[in-house]
Amino acid sequence: MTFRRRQRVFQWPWNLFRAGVLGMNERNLDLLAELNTGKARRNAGDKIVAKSICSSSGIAVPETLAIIDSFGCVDAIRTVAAKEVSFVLKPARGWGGGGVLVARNYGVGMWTSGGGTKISVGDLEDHTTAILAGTYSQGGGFDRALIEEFISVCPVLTDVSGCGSPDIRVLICRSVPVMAMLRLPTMASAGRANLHQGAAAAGIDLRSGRTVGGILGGCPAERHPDTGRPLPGITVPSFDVCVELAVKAADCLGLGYAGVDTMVRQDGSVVVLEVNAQPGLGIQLANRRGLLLAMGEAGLSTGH
Amino acid sequence: MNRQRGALLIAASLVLAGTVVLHQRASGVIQAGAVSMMEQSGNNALCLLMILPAGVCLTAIVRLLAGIPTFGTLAPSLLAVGLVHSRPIESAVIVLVALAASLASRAIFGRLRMLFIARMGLVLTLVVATVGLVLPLVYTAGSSTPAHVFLLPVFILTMVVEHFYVAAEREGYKPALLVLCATLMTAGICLVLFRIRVVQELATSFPETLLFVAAILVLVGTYRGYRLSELIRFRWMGSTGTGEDCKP
Repeated sequence: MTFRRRQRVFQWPWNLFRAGVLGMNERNLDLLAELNTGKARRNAGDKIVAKSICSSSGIAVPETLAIIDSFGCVDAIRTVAAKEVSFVLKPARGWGGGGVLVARNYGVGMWTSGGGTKISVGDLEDHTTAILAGTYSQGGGFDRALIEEFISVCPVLTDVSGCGSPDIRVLICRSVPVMAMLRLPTMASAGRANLHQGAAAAGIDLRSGRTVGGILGGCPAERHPDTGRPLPGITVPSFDVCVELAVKAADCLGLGYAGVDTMVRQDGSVVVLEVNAQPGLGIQLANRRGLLLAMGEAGLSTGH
Repeated sequence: MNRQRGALLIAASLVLAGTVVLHQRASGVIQAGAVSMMEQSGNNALCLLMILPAGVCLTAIVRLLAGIPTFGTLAPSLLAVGLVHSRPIESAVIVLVALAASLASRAIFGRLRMLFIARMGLVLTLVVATVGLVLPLVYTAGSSTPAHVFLLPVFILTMVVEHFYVAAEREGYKPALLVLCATLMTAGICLVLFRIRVVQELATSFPETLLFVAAILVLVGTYRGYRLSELIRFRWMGSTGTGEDCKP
């Protein structure tokens, strides 16, 4: 009888340990609980607060078109909608990309969402009401809705993803950039850049700014599923600025461990979209490297 | 590292204290509280209360060691506690009815865009109405379980379904359905644990066993190794970390 190993089903824990893979329990106990204090985490958790802190420290953020903070003001979205521009509607205290609606304008009173479905002003009002009711917010409760400008990402990156807006996640630990990845939306993720929603991703080598590795749906992948373009070997434009802004953003919010999402505009300038106080572990898969290993190489002591 | 040692110390002292009290009481040294709680075992509520931590401990193990997510930390054990005194077929019927009723009414009223609290109330009202319709059928079928037994499960299931819909709106129906199944399965495991006669008697007659449960919780709460689910999730990460094992 011969055994043929077709596909790996699991990995032994000692192998993961040797590869320096960071697990969820260890992340929660050693990094989040130690490095991110309650106040910093609260500030980062509210996008409106985080944005004002970042912009007062001179970090470029997307332009705010409107903030809706009560049910009486929901029709304020009509004033924004009347301008006939593309915009992004998001909950202030959302998490994991939940409730983010990218409305791309293609005519008077007509938009398409990231997934390509048509949306009307009524749909926008419904979505705003759902956001205010706390549908997408951490711990429920009332929330505020934030309307931001739509950012046109530089074509080098959108050519690879075909749809949506690719962004760059930089992981910061104690003010040191540790890892980075390029997140590329797919049709399956409905234009969203979140890995668990089906986006593809590739690690970025911090020194050269070129992508390495690549994953899709938790499995290694070499090509983008929609465009067929290879995931490794992309040179990310303005990558050094992304890293620099990410470090600055994590510092000014007081987060010792943060995943900073940045976007590169068409003209090459960089904005900080969001600072995540509880960044996920998928960045290790995208880079195909363990985080503890990367932290050690970045000169941080990990007790590993 | 120091904290890990501290946790081990606390767990060890909890176990030691539990063992000492248990031994002293068994050999009759401690007379206080000698009236065993078993003698009040007609007091079902007390039994349910004493057994609850074991269920929470089990849920913690499922979530933190196995890495299987559930809706709510207490929901599985509360659901199991609610069902521990009804017969399996009845509990299955009542769980299915309450689940179907709350899923259906939530699906209908989710479109109304109501606020959380009012929506919960509305869904609960409909679930109670449905259960009220089904209960007479259960009794005509020859059940002798008192109706108050169904109180807790109905309430818990309504909460779980609300969690389910919020998760479904955020991440899609498939992952939410998986977590719903995991929640019900965890409740099932808790139910099996609660139905074991020895476990019931240990919890009621020997409250010292709570110290052992606390010790397990301290150990689970400070475990920083990999979860079982992570051994699968990171299966592509090789021993070298260079990515050579990553080829699909």
